[in-house]
Amino acid sequence: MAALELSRLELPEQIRRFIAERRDSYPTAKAILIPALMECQKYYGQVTPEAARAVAEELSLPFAEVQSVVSFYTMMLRRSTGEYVIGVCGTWNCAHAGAGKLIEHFRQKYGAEVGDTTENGLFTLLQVECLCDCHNAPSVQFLKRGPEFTPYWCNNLTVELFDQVLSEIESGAEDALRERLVRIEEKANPPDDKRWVWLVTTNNQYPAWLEHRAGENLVHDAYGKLGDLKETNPKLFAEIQAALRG
Amino acid sequence: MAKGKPYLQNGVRHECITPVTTLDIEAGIRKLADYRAKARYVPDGEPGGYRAAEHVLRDVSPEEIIERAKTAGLRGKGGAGFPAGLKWSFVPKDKPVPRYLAINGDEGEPGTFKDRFLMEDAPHRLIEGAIIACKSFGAHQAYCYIRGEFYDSIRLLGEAVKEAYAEGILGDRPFGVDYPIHFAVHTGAGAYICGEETSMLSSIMGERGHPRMKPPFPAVEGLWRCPTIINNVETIATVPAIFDAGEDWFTARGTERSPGIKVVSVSGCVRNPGWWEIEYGTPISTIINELAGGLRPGRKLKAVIPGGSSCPLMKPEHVDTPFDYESVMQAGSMLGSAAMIVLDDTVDIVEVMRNFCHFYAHESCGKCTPCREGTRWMLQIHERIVNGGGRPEDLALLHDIVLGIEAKSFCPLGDAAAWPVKSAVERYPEEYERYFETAGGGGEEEHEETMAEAG
Repeated sequence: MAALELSRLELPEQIRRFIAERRDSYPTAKAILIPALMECQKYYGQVTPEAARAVAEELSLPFAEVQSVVSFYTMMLRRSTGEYVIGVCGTWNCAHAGAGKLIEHFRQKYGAEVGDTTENGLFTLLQVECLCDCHNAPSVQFLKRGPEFTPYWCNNLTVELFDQVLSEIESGAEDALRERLVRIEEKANPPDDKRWVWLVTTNNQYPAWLEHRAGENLVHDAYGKLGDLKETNPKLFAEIQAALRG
Repeated sequence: MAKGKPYLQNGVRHECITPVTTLDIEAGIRKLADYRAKARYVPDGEPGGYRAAEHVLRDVSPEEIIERAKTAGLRGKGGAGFPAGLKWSFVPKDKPVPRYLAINGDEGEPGTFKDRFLMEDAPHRLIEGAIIACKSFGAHQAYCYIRGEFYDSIRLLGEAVKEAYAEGILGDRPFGVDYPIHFAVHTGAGAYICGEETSMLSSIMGERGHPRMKPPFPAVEGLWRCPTIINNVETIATVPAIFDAGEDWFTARGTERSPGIKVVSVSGCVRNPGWWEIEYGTPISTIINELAGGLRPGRKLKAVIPGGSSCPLMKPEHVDTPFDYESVMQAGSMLGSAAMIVLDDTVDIVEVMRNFCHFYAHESCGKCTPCREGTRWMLQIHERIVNGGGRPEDLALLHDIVLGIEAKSFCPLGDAAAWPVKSAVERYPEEYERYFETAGGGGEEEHEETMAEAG
């Protein structure tokens, strides 16, 4: 059995704690298997046989059974990946909105095929199935592996913006995956006589209305979700102001 | 329908909009303290969340909960539209074993985007609904199965659950009542099939996401062979309002057989894609034109997929169909998860079908032959057609394969893959014929490893 040839892996403390915290929620330890393997995926960017065996031992399950589960689920990757796994949705809405162009651009920029890791070790691009964010097509997720695993949505992307995000990550910019303005779109059916728009960002699209007061361009997002952008995301604020001036 | 007061949602003010499960999203209520102080069950109701759950736990018998859900006409909002109260009543009362509530947050149907926002931005409404649903059939443990890609939903719902435990709303004595209710957030790992109820149970139990034979139905034998009720996130999030605003509030809205409200998500070729919570029975044309801003200038409607990628395509002449289960069915499609995908005259239906076939071929779990082989054949044929190798007999061939999948697969994934193709072949043959006219002939079926995964 291949398991015997694997080198020993001690599960990180945070994954052992994750498992321990969930023991009481289920009548069997096996129920924690998939969430536990997903923690490994987040931590290592893949589920190595070593990690799978460590999880099997932690949950007292046969290694073969754990491997059969790993092989079933698409999100559990069985080869090494870059620091960021980029999931580009390829289902119709996103394909129609240009997901294919994003993938093509990535291939040209890095000479890396879908599923391969770029030479700089930073990126592995995967074409994934519907991410269910179809109103923000094309929808893309950037997943940064590690103990501090961080997921980012990067939606409504254009090729130019995608290129910019990738280049900024390469140059080490810490806020490369911040929420950015993609475009401001006039609303087709405004609910009243205010000047309604959609603020389309790399996260979402927000219904908002604009006001010009005392020489300033004010943006009121209808849900107050963006908060005071001047404070929370000055770069996004500046992008919006520039777009409104232009 | 359009008889209510015009509410504002997602930048649209319209009388068909009736926010209920989405009220907390509008008001930015995520935290427990805000939910208790400010949440309204229905748009003009009194503020104060968790009051319905407390009332139900203290004073309402399980039989009465089921009865009231039935009277309100609460139908499952995940796709099939099965009456929720009736489902709860299927749990055997005489079996002395644990019972479970499994909430389906494996939102994966292409075109659908509603459950994620409810889990992220209205988590306490979901927890409150779960408490009430649990009591109706004697469950003490609820699981919410969330697809692995929804990292934010998993985190935010998890935080809300912690808050609820800390405040004594979940735990051994919720609201001081001797009826333990526990709630756990469970993570999926990227498998559309796990949205199918029995596959979801397999997945929660730590297995490959394969569907199971029914009967026994999960309400009799589900998780660990104990009675288990599976409800969609939106269904559970609708429950609290019934026990505060009353059943009549719901039956006064929507249609007679599809009472109440539903979150629709509109995507595709519309100017303002987005989601809105509307009364059942609102005409599809109203949803497209007045909520989603209509088509782009100069475009004409080619097809509407009313309920996610697994529903048959509807022709433009059906665009005024009221959006309720019965009317959409009569017009030859299904309401499904109410994920409306709008296709205009620039869209190539064959390419849409190729894309959908790719989705289903990738997501087929491989357990049964009609689905495993059939989805792959349909993909290969569509790829050959778009690559210039279409043959006039392909229409009959596709139709034949569809009949071999439909109703012959082990679980509904096969039907979901077959129905859109069947409708495209029957209702849009000219789209395929265009390819046949320009085809260069030849074009052997090529097996292309299309799914790029590091697997």
